[in-house]
Order: sequence, then C-alpha cells, then structure tokens
Amino acid sequence: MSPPGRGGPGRVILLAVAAAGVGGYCWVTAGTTPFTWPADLLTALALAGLVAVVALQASHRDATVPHLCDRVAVSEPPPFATLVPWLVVVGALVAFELWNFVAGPRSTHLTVSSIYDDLARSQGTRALCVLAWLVLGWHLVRR
Amino acid sequence: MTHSLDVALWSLLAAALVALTLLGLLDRGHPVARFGTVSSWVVHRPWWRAAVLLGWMWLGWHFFAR
Repeated sequence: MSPPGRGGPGRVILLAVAAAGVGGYCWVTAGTTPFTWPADLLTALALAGLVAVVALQASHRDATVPHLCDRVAVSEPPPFATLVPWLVVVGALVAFELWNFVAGPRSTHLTVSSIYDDLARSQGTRALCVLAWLVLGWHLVRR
Repeated sequence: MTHSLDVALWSLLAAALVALTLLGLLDRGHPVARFGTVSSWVVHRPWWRAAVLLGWMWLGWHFFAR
C-alpha cells in the first residue's frame, strides 16, 4: 500500500499516460520536416505549453516563484568559486560557437546547428533531442 | 583549422560539461556547483529567467521548426 499523499495506482497510471504522451509528442515532432506547417505547429505547441506553465505560476505566485515585477525573490548565490568551472566551460562554448559561426565554412567550422544536422539524421535521434529540449524546459520552469 | 580538430574541440567541451555535471553530483563539499544550483540561481533573477526561457524557446524553434 502506498503511503498517504504519494498516490497509488491512479498516480502510476497518470505518470504512464504522461510519459506516453511526451514520448509520442517527441516521436511525432521528430518525424516532421523543418520549414513545414506540422513542424511549426508541434514546436509551437511546446512553446505554448511553457507559456501556459509560466502564466499559471504567475497567477499562483508564492515567495519561491519570481516574477518580472519582483524586486527581490533572488536566491542565495552559490559560492563564486564553485561557479568558476561553469563560467569557464560555458564561456568557452559560447566563444567557440561564435568563432565557428563567423569563420565558416560549415564543412570545417562546425556550429551547434551543423552538429545537430549531422547527429539528427534518424527520427530516433531527433526524438531524443526533442526530449532533451523538453526536459531542459521543464527543469527551468520548475526551478 | 581542420574538421577533425573542430570535432575534437567540440567533443572536449561536451565532455567538460558532462564532467562538471557529474562532479556537481558527487558530493556537496566538491568545489563545483551542481547544475541544478546554478540554474536555480540564474532563473531566480526575474530578467535572467525571462532571457533563459526565451533562449529555450528560440532553441526549439531553431532546431525543430526552422
């Protein structure tokens, strides 16, 4: 028996349905061709989902959810020394992307977009990329 | 720069990101902040949050729609 508040079979079924829905969405989106209306529509659906979640958060705002009009609601920063490795690597990534973007051609100077084009040749790989994008978005709105 | 060198550098940067993520998970006393800690800190600043979410939206539109 499940502990109170942790759900039971209903919660498991709900999670299974949600997982199937997300998986289906990723697969179908990965099967569309960019620059076509199905690709636009399915991508816009995820964008609308994010906007809806953010709007919902704003309407049920508490101290942990920031808003553009808030002057405070800033969490305690982690020690700067622990951020330095992140700043170095992310800075290097951005600099390398920009350098490749400007230097061209793509055959020798790869950008993230050209790497994605190479990696995402199969629908399965593209579906994983869509899933990674959704997970990142969910991670960001839940913070 | 050759194509191979470019691939090697991208691989190195990707490996560094994975390594930082794993190092952050190892234990709290480690000198690398967790990915979740960094992202929390960033998105708790309202304008940064807006910028990050817009960046996420642009990323999806760029890769999957256009």
